[in-house]
Amino acid sequence: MADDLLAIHDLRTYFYTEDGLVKAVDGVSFKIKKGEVLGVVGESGCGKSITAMSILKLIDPPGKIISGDVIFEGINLIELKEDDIRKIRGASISVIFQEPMTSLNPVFTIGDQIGEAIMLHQDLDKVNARKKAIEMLKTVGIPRADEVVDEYPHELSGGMRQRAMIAMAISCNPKLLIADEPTTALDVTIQAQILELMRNLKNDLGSSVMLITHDLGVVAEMADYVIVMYAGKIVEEAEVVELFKNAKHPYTIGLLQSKPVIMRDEDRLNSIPGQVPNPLHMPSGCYFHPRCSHAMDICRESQPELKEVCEGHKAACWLYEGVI
Amino acid sequence: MGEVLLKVNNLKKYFSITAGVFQHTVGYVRAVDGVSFEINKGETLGLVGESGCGKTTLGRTIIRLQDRTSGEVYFKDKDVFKLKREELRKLRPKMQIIFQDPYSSLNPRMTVGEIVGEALLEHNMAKRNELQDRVVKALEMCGLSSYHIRRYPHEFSGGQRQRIGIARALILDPDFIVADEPVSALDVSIQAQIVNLLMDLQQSYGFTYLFISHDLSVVKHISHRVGVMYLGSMVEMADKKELYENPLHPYTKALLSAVPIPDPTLKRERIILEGDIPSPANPPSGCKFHTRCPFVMKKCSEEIPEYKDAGSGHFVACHLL
Repeated sequence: MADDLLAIHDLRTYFYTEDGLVKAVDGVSFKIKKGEVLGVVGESGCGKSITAMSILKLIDPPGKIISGDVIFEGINLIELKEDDIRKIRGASISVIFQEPMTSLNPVFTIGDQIGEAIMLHQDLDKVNARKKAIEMLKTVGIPRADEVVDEYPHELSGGMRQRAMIAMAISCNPKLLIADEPTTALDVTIQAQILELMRNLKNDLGSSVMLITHDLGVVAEMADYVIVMYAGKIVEEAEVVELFKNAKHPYTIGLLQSKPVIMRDEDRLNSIPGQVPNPLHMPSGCYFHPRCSHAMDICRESQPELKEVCEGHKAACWLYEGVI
Repeated sequence: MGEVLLKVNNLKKYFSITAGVFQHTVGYVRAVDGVSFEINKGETLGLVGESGCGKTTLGRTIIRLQDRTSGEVYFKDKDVFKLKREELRKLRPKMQIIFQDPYSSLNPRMTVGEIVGEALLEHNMAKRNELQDRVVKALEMCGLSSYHIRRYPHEFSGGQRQRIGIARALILDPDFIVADEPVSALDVSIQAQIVNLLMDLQQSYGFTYLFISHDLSVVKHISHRVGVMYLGSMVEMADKKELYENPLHPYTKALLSAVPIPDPTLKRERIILEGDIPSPANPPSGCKFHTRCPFVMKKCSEEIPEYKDAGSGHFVACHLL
């Protein structure tokens, strides 16, 4: 389609660990449209971050991208050489990492770190890069931007560091912004500030956003389209309103019910029994069947495919086999 | 409500900031700055606030894991800071704590049986020959099995480790348990399991909890009453329903409106606070919240608002009322 910015097809990223093969991302396909916010939801270890890192080929050994295509504006990023993909990283596609404490370099000033990307991708000299860095800091709402530019990361609070990370990520007007748990390490009042900021920036710049999170509340607020991942696979995807109103996969339903909601009163939380399977010993058939209350014989034997279960809504579950 | 189990009166805990070669004190971090409240028997008091507001320090101080600076804590009418060594030792099993991080709070060199049983032996509450039965019983109460007893913590997932931490607390048959962010490090689907377990145990054994968390939805679910802390002070405390439906303090209102709700069709009015939490080493004058408050008046920066009952046990400290 013409309005697709990014199309991923059958991406597989495996890790060859000493203990055995871990299929961290196992045949994932999705698209991100221009100007869209794609929410990627799942619990720790489901492969959501590895999917994002695979887009930019930021996978270190023992990890390896085994197969798949990542088509960004007509170019397959997987086939690019290191030198060529470096021109895309930080320029057309940039990343906001989860931990603002550890993802900034402690020995460089904020200005140096923002300026580095600007000098590299926009061909500005040091003086102008600094000016641009101050301007970016103002854009993300940092007070005293002309002083903060010369400060070191440890002098800033968590929320301020995350703003500086965002300033760095948007300094080259990226077409795609990958935000990997951008607010998980922050307090709720600061989270509200950062989400508001991301929403405004998206509207101003018209960028697409891939928002990775485990917080269903954040997804409901920010995303246009949602994919739910479990054990390296997409188990369900739909538009945000459809997904929250009409969830199909038992895992998604379980996730939605296991989180208490501040505006609702419930006597008892519905929990999903058991735990995420060990990636070295995946269960047979559907990976979710040991925890699923609807498990049938077929679920133990073979893996369901991700199929349309109603219009614009896909799920990978045997319950909906033959529904359409 | 029933009888009061724990009464905290104007409790303060300051940490000194030292500097120079001789480490002389140059200032204080006022982690807990004059907090008073009561917890009834069998009740869960939720404690919310952002990082650095002193909620963990408060939890640790009231069970005397660290000394206070001033103030009193009465547990069953006994001042825990006036107890002699031996009296305190006898009281210890009655006040237990579940820690936040299930990865660092269990000794990796001990088996689960040793971790859970250690305190029983320490307090002479079990003979060696009945120890194993007691440990197995505690593990089973927490949804673990007898064959786990010989395993080491690294063999367990986060949720299971938290169950071990809970078993370690409840084997002593405590009256009062401080649960310090017990589900924050866990995935959503596992959080629900642990929250349900804590609520079931309270039903069966009548435990009293102080449930500390920054997650307002979880606190709402598990608590009977909820207190909100900001920079070492309690700014509001009320029955759960009252606090969530009718918050009076501007900080509570902002906190509640900032919680993302998993319903994409819902449009809410959101109060977005400006700026960050000030440093507790140098808190603002008057009301500590006045630097971020949308309704700030002249009086707020000059006078400390009184923490008082605004009607039917709804306590709040704000000049607006």
